[in-house]
Amino acid sequence: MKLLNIIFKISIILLVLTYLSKEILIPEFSYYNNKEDYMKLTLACGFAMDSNWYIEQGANSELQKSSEIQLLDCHDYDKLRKHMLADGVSEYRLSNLGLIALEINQKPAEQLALPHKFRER
Amino acid sequence: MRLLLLLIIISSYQAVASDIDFKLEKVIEIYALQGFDCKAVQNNDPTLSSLGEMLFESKLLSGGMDTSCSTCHLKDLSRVDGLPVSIGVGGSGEGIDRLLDGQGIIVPRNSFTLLGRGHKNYSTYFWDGKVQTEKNRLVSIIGDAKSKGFHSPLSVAAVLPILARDEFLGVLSESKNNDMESIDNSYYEMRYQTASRALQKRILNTKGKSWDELRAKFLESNLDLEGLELSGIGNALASFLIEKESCFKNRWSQYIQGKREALSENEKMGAYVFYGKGRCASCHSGDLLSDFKFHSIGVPQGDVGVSIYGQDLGRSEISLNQKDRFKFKTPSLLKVSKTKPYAHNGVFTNLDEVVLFHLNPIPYFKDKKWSKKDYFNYGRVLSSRSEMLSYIDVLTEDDFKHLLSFLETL
Repeated sequence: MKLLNIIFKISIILLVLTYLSKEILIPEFSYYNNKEDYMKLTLACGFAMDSNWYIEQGANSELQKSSEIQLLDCHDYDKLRKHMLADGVSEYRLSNLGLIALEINQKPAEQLALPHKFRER
Repeated sequence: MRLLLLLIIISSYQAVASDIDFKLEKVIEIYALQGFDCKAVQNNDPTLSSLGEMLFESKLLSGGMDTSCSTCHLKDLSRVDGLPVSIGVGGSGEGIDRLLDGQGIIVPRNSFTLLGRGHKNYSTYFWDGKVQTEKNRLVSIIGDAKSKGFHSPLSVAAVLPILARDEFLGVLSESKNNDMESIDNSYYEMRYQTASRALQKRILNTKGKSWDELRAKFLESNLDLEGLELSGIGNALASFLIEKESCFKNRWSQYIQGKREALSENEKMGAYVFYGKGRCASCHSGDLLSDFKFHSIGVPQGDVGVSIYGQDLGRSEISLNQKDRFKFKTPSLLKVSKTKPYAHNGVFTNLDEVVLFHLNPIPYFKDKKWSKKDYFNYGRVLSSRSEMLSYIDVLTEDDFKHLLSFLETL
C-alpha cells in the first residue's frame, strides 16, 4: 500500500511537471529564445515578398531567379513559426511579434522634431 | 529536470539554426552551377604552348621592343598589374615602378586577369567586347578570324594588344623609322595584315641571340615561319594561357562540387546574399561569374579614357549604339579579391569600395575629389546606370560583410 502511495505521488508530480512544462515552461522558453529571430525573419520575408511583387512585373529571368532565392527567407519564417506553434506559443503572441517587427522602422513624430527645437535661447 | 531543460534548449536551437547548406543547394539548383571546370577549354594546339610562353614573356613583338604581354599581366599579381590603368610602350619596370617611372604611354583601361580566359564558355573579351563569340560566330574588329587561322576567341584576343599603338606598336616619332611603329591603318584588318608581314620579316631576318632562340622555338613547334601570320602567334599565346594560366581552384567551386566545409558560415551567408537579395548573380552569373553582356554601374570617368575628350564611352565605341554608352562587359569575378583595383579604369581601389558603389554611389564621392571632367559630365554617366541595381536589397552591415567574405572564396 505504501509503495502504491509513493507511485501515485510520483505520478502526480510527473503529471503536474509535464503539464507545467507543456503549457508554460516550453512555450515561454521557446518564445524568449526565438523572438528576435522570428521578428528578423518576419521582416526578411516581408521584404522578399515585396521585392518579388515588383520583380515579377518585369521580364528579367535573372532577377526572378534571385528573387526565388530571396523567398527562401519565407521558408525559414514558416519553419520557425511552425516550430514555435508546436512548442505551444500561441497564434496571438506570434501575431503580436509580427506587428512589433513591422513597427521597428516606425518612429514617433517627436523624435523627428527633437533636433529642430531650441535647447536654450 | 535538467534533462527536460536540455531537451528544450536543443529543440529551440534546431529551430533557430537556419540550414544555410539547404539554401545553397537551392542556389546551385536554380542557377545550374557546376563549379569551375579546368578541362572545359577552348580549341587549342598544346604543341604551341611552349612557344606561346616564350612569346608571352618576349618584348620582341613590340615596336620599340620594350613591352611584352607579361608587362601588364604579372605572374605575382594574378596576371594583373595592380595599376588603375596600365602603362604601355615607352615605360620601364613593372607594376607601381612602371607608373613612377613616368615615361610610358598610358593605356587608358585597367588590366584584367587571365584566369579562366581559356574556358570554353568564356565568350567576350576586353572591357568593350571587341572579341566575341556570338551564335557560334567569332566576331572581332579584325574581321573574319576563322579564315585567318585563329583557333579560338582567346587566340584573337591575345593578338589585339599587338595591334594597339599604346600597348605594343609604339609611338611614331620622326627620329625612328620602325616597321611596327609606323603601322597606322585605321582599320584593324589592315593593321593585322601589315603587322603580320612586319613581324614575319623581323623574326626571319633580325640577328641576335634572343632572335635565334625565338626562331629555334618556332622550328621546334613546327610553326612555319615563311607563312607566319599573327594568327599563329595568337594560337601559340592562347595555347600557353589555356595550359598554364587559365586553370585554378577556388573554394566556391569546391563547395558546389560537394565539399561543404570549403566555406565558413559567414562565407555561406555571403553566397546566399550574392545569389539572392544582392542580385549580384543577375549579371555575375554562371561558373565564370559573368553574363558576358554589357551594363553600366555609373563608374566615374576619371582622368583618362579611350574616347573623344579623354572619356570612355565603353561598349558604344564598338557597337556605335547610343544605348551602349558607358556600358562595359560584366567582369568575371574569378579571383576577384586578388585583382584590384576595379572597374574599366581602376577607379575603385578595393573591393568594399566597388561593391558599395553598386549599392549606393554617393559615399564614394563624399571623400573623393571630382575630376574636372566628371564634375561637368557625370550626370550623363549616371543616367546610364543599370535599372537592375535598383532591386538590390542589401540593407544591413552584416549582409554587406558576408558578401565581401564570399567574394574572397571566388
